[in-house]
Amino acid sequence: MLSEHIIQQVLERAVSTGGDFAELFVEDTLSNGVSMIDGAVEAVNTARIYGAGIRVLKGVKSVYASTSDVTLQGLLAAAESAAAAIAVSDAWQGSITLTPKAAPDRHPVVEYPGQVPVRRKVELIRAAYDSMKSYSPEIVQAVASLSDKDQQVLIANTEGLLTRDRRVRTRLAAQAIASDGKENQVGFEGPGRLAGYEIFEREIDPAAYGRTAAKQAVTMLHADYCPAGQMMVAIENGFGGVLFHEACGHSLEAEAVAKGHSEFAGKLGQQVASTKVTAIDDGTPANLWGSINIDDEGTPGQKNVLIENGILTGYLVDRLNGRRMGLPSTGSARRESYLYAPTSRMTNTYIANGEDDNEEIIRSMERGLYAKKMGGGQVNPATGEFNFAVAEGYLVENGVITRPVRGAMLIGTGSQVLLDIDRVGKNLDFGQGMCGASSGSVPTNVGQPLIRIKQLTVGGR
Amino acid sequence: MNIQEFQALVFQAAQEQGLKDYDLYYQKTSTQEYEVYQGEIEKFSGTTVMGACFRCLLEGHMGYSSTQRFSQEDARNLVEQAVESARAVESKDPQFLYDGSLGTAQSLKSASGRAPAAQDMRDAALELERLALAEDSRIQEVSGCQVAYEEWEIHMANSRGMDLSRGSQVLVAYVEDMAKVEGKPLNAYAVKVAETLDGLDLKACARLAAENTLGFVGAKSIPSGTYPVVFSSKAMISLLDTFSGVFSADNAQRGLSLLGDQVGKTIASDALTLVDDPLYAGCINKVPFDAEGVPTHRKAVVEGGVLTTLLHNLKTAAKAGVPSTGNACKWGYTSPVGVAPSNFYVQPGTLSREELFQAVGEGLLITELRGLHAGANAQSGDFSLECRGYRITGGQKGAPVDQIVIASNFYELLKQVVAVGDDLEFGTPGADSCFGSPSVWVRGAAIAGQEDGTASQSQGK
Repeated sequence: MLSEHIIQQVLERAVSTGGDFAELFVEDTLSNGVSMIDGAVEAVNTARIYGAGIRVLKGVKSVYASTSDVTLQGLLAAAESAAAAIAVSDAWQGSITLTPKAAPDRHPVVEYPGQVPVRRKVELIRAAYDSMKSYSPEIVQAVASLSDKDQQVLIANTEGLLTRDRRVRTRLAAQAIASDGKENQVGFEGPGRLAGYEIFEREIDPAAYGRTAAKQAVTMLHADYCPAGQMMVAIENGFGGVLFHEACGHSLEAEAVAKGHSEFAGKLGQQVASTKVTAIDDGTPANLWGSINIDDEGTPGQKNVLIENGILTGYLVDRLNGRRMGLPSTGSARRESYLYAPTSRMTNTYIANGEDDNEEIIRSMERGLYAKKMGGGQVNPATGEFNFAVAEGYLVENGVITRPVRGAMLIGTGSQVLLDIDRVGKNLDFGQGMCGASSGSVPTNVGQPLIRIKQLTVGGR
Repeated sequence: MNIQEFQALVFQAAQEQGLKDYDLYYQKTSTQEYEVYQGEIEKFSGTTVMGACFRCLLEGHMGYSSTQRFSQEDARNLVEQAVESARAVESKDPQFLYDGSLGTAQSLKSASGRAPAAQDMRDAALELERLALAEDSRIQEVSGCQVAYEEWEIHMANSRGMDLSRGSQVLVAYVEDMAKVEGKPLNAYAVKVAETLDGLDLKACARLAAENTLGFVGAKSIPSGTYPVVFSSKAMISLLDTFSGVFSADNAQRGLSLLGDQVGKTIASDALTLVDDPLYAGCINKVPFDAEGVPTHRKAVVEGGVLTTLLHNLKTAAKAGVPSTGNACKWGYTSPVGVAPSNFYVQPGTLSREELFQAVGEGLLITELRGLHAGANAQSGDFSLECRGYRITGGQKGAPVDQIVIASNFYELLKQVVAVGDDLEFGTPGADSCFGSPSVWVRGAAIAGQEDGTASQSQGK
């Protein structure tokens, strides 16, 4: 991408007004999208994202300048504007010795998206589309799409780091709409991996995901509204992990913790969850959707135990917020693209398997809600107040799952819900999502086994 | 290379490929953000992103390709990829490049067209934090304080001689307060926008943030039940933003909206009129032409409860046999052309907020809805959302309420509007749509709270 000589000049220029650290992030990304509706390919879209971001730090102050002009001239101009903005009097005294360092390569890619002909992509989405449409005459519309992204980055900093990484992500989306003419209900599946198109040979069957999406839509079309009030709630594995992601994960990000704007700030070593809960953020597992080789500051991804048997053991830390907290990076700095300065974010975040029997968890519920599939959610880290939607829910009566219910929304506070987890099952699995925050939208995995919460406020009608 | 030079290269490459019908859409967005924390500028970021999207019409199919790199080689790649994209598309939908038959739009430049001086931006950001802290001694900290400038410029040209541009700029003040009252953390934010830095009301922003935060001291949940509800303008804007897609002919033609066969019919209470006005004087963003270059105009989409038109682009209009309403949109430069409103608002009524509360008597004022990305289903119209607000007691705004969930359906809600206030406000403008609403009173909505109100009543307690 760029010669060491150019990188060195840009970094030197960036710290020329007294910054104590500068970082260059250069990105060249190709992304493709193919979508099908009404059984015909609707759109094929290719986009190239190309640019650089320069960050300068001085203590806990930061400046970020980005440009899509990745020439020496363009980069120096961006470095200069960043330097001008940090403007402290004394000039930087250090020297930069760039040491090229290979990023770990934990996530092998077999079929790069650029090598896959559009024809094959169309076959894959057609399989998902057909399985949705043929599931039931009540499926009035289906949309299937594929998106892939091949991101190449270069990261260098004034500490001498010079590293590169290539991140290939591929994801299928299947959305089915069931209708009885008066109302519509939706089912959605969106499996993806940090990998190429080989995922469709090994582990992701588009037709199977299409059927699941269609089944959800039809089930919800025939569901009554969820009753409102407080009740016991069991949340199934996979995307159910959004509970932990929202209710706790965001509040453990250094971005919230560093300034004390999190209900978990200052609680390391304290019991914050039921003793059944061990929670982990792990960027290392091969090819998982949220995995990384290195984060967007160039630090290798790692396994961070956040909560162990209910005790808070760690936070997710990036370089800048780490300075405020006096903690090293945990390989958690992420950003959507060169347009964003990185900050602490999650990767693959999950509640680990427990020891409770999954069947017993439901059998021992007198009355409550079984959330088979969750939608998305949101949290206010300062107060811990969260909300998240149940995409496919069922009532549980006397230990038996009885009937589907729609429109359930779970609300509560993170600190309380973690203490209220009274069962943790054994079927850990992940669901894929895009998580939005101050450094943009990044791919994250959420995960858990079946868990149960003693009591939550459930919105419905 | 500037955009005119790149455009010339692209058009030349297109001619070399033998293309006859094509266009280029170019967007440049620049932002400058100053963030203050504890009396100092803690963070500055300046980003500029330039992107171009090329479309070509080949045997009735539209191909797309986008880039952020602007060399001669990129111009050729862009055209080749768009041709490949067009060849892969199967959709039988008619596709159009605008031929000028609906008139020629005027280009429009932003008011001042240049960013405020850096020192003035810094001073404003520092002043905003001071004002926020001075509002109330219970505000412990201003946890977020930002003054930002954003400008965007859109340029469109096609093979039929179209050559249009429009630009806009906006200044944004953002404050988030943190307070702790009786051991309970409280936080809330406020946003104000203006077209110039001088026009930005920092004091009003500080006051609103304090109100939004301290207004919720002692907030409690309420018993579950059905309550008459007034949506504040902010809450109603977030609903309009989420559900405006139901008025899109594109969604209707795909079976993703229930309004497809409702034009000319009553879909809402006669108290409701919804207007789309691209050049509305009270909005910062003026949109003289849409994303296909078609000149735009004001229209009532719902008038006195009757659906007068859906929103169209050239494709949906041709399918419906009507002229385009000038509502072609792009969600970012890479996006395919879709349909969206421009400045879309609920026409205000004659009652002041106080008169509205007086008329309601007993009910609930909802001031904020959360989790709309997950808890609202744009296809079915169902929503189930964490929210907060105030009781309306004895015809006046009463005690604060939080930790509740409101569940209803957008289509039903339109029919349940009793009256609208005179307090029209607009939300933060984006490059495409901006939403506005006064306070809106609806007959009833299901609220889930923390005690089961209906159960205790039925037991006669």
